[in-house]
Amino acid sequence: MQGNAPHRLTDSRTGARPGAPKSVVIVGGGTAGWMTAAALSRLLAPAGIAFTLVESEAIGTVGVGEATLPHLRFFNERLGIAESDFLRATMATIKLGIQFCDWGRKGDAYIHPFGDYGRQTSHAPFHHLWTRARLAGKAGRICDYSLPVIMAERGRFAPPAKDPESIMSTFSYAYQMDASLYAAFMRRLAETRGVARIEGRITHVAQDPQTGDVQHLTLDNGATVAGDLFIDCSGFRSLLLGQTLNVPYESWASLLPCDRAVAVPCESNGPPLPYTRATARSAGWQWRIPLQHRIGNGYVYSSAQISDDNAAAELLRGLDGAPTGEPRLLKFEAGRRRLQWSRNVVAIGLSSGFLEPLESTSIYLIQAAITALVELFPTQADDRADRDEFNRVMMLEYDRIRDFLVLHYHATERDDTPFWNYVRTMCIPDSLQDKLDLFRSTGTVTLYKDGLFLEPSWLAVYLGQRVEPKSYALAANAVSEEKLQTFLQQIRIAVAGTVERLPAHADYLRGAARAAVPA
Amino acid sequence: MNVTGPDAPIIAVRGNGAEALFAAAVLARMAARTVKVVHLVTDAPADVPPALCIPPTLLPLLRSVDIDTAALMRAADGTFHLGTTYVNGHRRSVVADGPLPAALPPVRITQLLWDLSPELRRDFAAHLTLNVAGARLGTVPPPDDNALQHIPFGLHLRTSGFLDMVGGAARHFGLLTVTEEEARCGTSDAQETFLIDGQPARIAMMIDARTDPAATHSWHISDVEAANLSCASVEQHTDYLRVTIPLQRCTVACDVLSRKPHPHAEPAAERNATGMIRLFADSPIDPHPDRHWRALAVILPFLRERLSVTLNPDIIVRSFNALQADLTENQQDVAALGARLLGTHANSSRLERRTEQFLHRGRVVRFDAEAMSETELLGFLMANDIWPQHGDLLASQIPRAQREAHVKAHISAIERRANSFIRQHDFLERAGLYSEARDGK
Repeated sequence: MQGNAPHRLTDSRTGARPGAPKSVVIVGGGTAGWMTAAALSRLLAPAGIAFTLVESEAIGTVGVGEATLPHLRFFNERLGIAESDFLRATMATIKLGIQFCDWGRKGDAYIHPFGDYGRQTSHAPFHHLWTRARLAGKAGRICDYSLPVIMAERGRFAPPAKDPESIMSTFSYAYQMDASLYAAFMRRLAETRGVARIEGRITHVAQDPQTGDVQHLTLDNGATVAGDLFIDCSGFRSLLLGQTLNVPYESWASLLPCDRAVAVPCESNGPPLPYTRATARSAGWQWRIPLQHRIGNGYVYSSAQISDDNAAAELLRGLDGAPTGEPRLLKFEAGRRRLQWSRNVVAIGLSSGFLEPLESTSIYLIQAAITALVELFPTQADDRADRDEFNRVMMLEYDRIRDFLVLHYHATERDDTPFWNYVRTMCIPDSLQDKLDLFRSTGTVTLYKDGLFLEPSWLAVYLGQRVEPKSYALAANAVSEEKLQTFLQQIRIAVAGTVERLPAHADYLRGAARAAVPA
Repeated sequence: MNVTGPDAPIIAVRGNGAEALFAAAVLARMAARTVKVVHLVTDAPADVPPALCIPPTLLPLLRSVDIDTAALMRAADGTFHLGTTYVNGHRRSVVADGPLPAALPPVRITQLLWDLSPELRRDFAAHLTLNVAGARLGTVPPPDDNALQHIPFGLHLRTSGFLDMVGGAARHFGLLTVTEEEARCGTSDAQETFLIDGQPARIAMMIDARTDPAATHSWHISDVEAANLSCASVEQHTDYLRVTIPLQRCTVACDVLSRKPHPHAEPAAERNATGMIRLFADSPIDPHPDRHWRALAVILPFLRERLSVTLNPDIIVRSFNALQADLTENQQDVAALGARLLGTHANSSRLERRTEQFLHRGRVVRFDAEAMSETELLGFLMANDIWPQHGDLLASQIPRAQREAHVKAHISAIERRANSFIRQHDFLERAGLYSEARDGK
């Protein structure tokens, strides 16, 4: 394609209408770029589309999201990747949830698990029954009714069962991985499937004077790269969607005031934990992501509240092992582009928006965009309906994740630093305030059809951060006190007994991935 | 049992219709000793249709008040409701539920259709699911066949029998019925007070379950061989719609002379306030015979979780307004599609997006709080002659012959299976579901 004049292909073989993209150019080769290239080249293979990825080694990548969500497993499966290959290639460990330390109050800790609490009954959702017992002082921790929480706490793991009757079917799991290794893994996959990689820095973006569509890119060596559809994976620069098409950025800085992160890996200090840790700090929070060979660490903070140097010092003081590199600084602003797809440009990854990695949503948002794009891939010149639908779906994803992240900050009793005082007292969106009021008053979690975080996730954060319901559903009173106690005890025993029989997480990794994890 | 102390907050469900009684019964069942549930009725003659049509999604709620489906069918001349036929002149379209047929992964079956012949597409629509086939033929699977477990069926019921059974269940759960004219004793802080158990009591939360009082109906009962109809029908006449519901030995036809705008059809946020919610926001164009029951199947589980031990009506109303906004918007889409089938041009806010996505790529867009299933929405679109006009990128790579063979195989499979179905009359006989009163109309 190098040096070609801009063109639009038609396909007499398949009968696709004129205007259906036959050449796709991906701009940027980080995690988002190579995930997109690997996925589209596999999933759209029968369509005979030419995929080209343009990247410059001179421009570094952010390498977002070492911690992931369970959706990545299904993404990998769809791409035909064997789990053992993936674990080895990315030095990954298993992730059963995220532990939040010092968020509600200093000294508090809870795990947001990938799985359910308790068991469903015909009377009322489990958490209403649990709340009834809690208000009577007879419930214990809600965590004791969650298999993944207890597995995480005890460092045990075995894959979930498919039998819906089994307690082992009540959880899911994700990975903690080296994102740069994952990008390299995706690159190998994509190149094997025929994606052409072009090295070069983009110096000019040419647009059609009539339509405003991007026509071709000019590289620093003078070559041009033309395409029908451009996927902007250029990271925070948002070279095509932001800089070229001027799609405005909607800032959520007032709701999510952290705007910097400093990251540094350190040595492992023992067998890897099967969960990520997020510890609240004076002006933000610190992540700890255990991989097979090291621990990833970072401090996400508000630059209005702490200097970069002090943040780096606070991070280094909080490491569990000796640092293995120099701290690396990242700057960002929470928010999203008003459109994710404009004209013939689709933004995927950081070019479309940024939500801090508190709930490991960066890679999920990449996946969600890829999935939506595959489903809505344009088939004709007039792709307005596809664009509108893509934008609707992705906006909903961003907005609903935003509310969930804001909850973590706002639902705190901490007032020990200006940062925590600000987030505790800040105005929050009505959509979140209504959810909080409903939960406090009735114990009900607002549910929706589309959106990432489901009932157990909201419950975990509400209860973990002391948003406690004053009441519970009337229907929970249908069970006698004695039966309720027996029911709850049975679940606690089943959870604890099941976990006791599971192998250690490190042993599982050694078996599944033949990984050399520390003893 | 809804046996409560004197200080228990009171929830009143207002309305003379079957919907109000059923909502009150479900709430009384769960209120269990904490909240008193009262059914407020008026002396005015009830404008209750003699037959009703409930969707599959309501059956779990019936079970929640310990009503057995077979017993209900026997008590209320019940027949199976597999779908609804829309009749406009010579044109008949069946819209029904049922699991969507398998596709050629990852391509959905609706994405295979765009360039197939109109005859094959129509044949596909007529064989979309077993519900559609059964509703069209008036048949059901034999009682010893477990297929019925996989067919989402609703019920056609004689209202009097339904009221008897639900009323019995409601009394068992301690529901108190109060006549408004006798019990009203003034207002306090702008809220009505009623004599409940002989004492003036404020209603903590009023649930208005009255249905459209502005519509004018007339009823006919005819002796047609109703037991062999397994779907309701809606037929367009010159100046009225005729909704026909088949019971075991007769059909009940309701002529809706006018579908005037509901007097309370203002925006939900204004309608529901200060401890009062109105359940039904009728659309003036909605022809669906089971629309209120479909709404109840969404609303009652929603309320069941939000009605808490320490009742907070304002929070519930706020939450309900959000649900009702979604529900109403979705119902308007379906109402518009139903009205179009009957020759009335109608539109709604989200319908264009649904239609566009279906036209472009055979994709059925779904939103929060849908009362209709994906299959039913698909049925409405196809019945309106809205067909995918383009191939999805992946679907367009599948040779036409292969797509055609796949669709034909689906049609044959449904036809073969539906051929083993029996007349509903035979099912009712063999399963002992006929009511005892042979001449009851």
